[in-house]
Amino acid sequence: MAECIEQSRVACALGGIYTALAIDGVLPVTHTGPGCLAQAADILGRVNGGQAPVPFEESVIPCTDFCNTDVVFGGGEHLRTVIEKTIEYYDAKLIIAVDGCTAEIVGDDIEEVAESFEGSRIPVISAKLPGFVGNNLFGHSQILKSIVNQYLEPTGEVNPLQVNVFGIVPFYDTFWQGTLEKLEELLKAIGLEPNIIYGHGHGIENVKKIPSAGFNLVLSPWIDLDIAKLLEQKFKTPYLQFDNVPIGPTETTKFIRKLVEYAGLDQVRAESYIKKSEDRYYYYISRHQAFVYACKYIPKDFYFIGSASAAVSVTRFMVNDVGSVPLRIYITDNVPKDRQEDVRKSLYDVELEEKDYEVIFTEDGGLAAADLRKEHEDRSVVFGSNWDLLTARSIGSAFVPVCAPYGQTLIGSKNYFGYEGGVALFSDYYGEIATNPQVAFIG
Amino acid sequence: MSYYIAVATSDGEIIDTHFGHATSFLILEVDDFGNYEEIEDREVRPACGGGECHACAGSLMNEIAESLKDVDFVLCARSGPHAEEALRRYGIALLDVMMPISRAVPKIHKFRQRYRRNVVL
Repeated sequence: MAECIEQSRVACALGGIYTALAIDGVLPVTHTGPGCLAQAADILGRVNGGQAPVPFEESVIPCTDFCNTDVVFGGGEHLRTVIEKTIEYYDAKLIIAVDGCTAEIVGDDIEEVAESFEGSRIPVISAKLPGFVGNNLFGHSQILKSIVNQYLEPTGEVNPLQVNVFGIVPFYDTFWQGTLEKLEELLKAIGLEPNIIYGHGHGIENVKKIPSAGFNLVLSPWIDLDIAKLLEQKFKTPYLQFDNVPIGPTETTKFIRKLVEYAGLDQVRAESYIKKSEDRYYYYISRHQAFVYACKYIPKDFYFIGSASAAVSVTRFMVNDVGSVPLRIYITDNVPKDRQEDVRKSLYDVELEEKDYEVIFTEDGGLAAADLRKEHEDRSVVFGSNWDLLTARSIGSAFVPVCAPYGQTLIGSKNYFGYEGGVALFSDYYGEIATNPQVAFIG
Repeated sequence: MSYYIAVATSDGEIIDTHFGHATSFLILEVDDFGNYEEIEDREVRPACGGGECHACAGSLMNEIAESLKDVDFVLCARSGPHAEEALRRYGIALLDVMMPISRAVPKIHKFRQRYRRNVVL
């Protein structure tokens, strides 16, 4: 980890509870200080497209209000009381008891507390989320590991067409909800039975179905690979990794063909879907061509500051479909050292002859901003989080938000997934260039 | 070096009295090995004088804090933020806990040994 972080783009490990909150009916009980939740709520919720979990909003999450007395006398009993009352008053399907830094330092045994509720009306499991170990991606992984290890049971049957979707971190990936809906549609269209656990219309029933999948799909350069491996070891479910959430025709077509080959699906059906979708994509792009050429300015390069997953998705689309060139890519979500090479490989795996751009791993967003101010191309484009808006303005660049914290706006069901996502990202990208007075052609 | 703990108790066995209701605090002296003895029953004017509210941010809280300034920890069944604030000015930690004194003191001693360098909570 960096020594100090300016402009953090991640939350502490407690941000992992947003993964639990994204699953309908799952309620975390936090064994933390009274203010711990607030810092994750900003970066992953409110300032990230105005999101809040449904049905359990942050303000109703039970908390033990960990204080001095718990530090000296231990807070285990305190947690037990809060869980008892939670079971009495809340209509949840699964409770996850989580602890934060202080409880981990004094050594409260939350596993023992959770286990003591065996056979209760609502099942209780536990996950340790100490912020001094990692960020919200570590927390996300801890929550999923707890669910797999403590909650899932073999279903005894395997449905070869069922595919569990992993790799998209709810809330942290600002577009998660829209993306998952579109992804579900696409997977159904090519003949698979997607099993998505997060968001609207899904929930604990989908979680229970995880062990009966034919395979697990991991849509990221490194996130959730540990979960896929754990599921492989526990339920013998194989996994397929595609290193990004595809945006635009090149990547989405590649994604579909890879899936069809892996799962042995109907090729004719898939190819006809690809043909139809690509035609539609190019129809929409053609409609904008006259405007783009009349505007006369198309920046040839871009900078990226943000999460590894968004970096791969955006870079692939911008290079392969738009024909732009990255200049520098800053990855700010503390990718583990042993995974950095994979992310780097994914970022250089584009259709470009001279790949002379740099990929920099730093958690310090301030460093990336200072770096950009020192050396940059004029009238380029910056892809990033809301933190980078002012940086982009100060160097006379256009700015397109693509990752957390997205900004104080409403994200709605917006997403950049697939063919349609390509059209959406292109129109946001060129709309910004055409309307940004620092970049647009004037005169 | 020994240190002192003040306990709000009605029977000398269990920590069962609210901070504001306590008419006296049992003062315990704890040595380096965690052995303790009762050395004094220190009388105070109760901050919440018999259940009626006396605007507890006022002088009575400070008077109690002043009279307990030689102790490191005060244990009581329940307390409020004004009491905590008044005691914190004298570097005293106020802890709400309902349990026998004989169970509470070893826990405090263990905590103090672990975090000796920074015992101010």
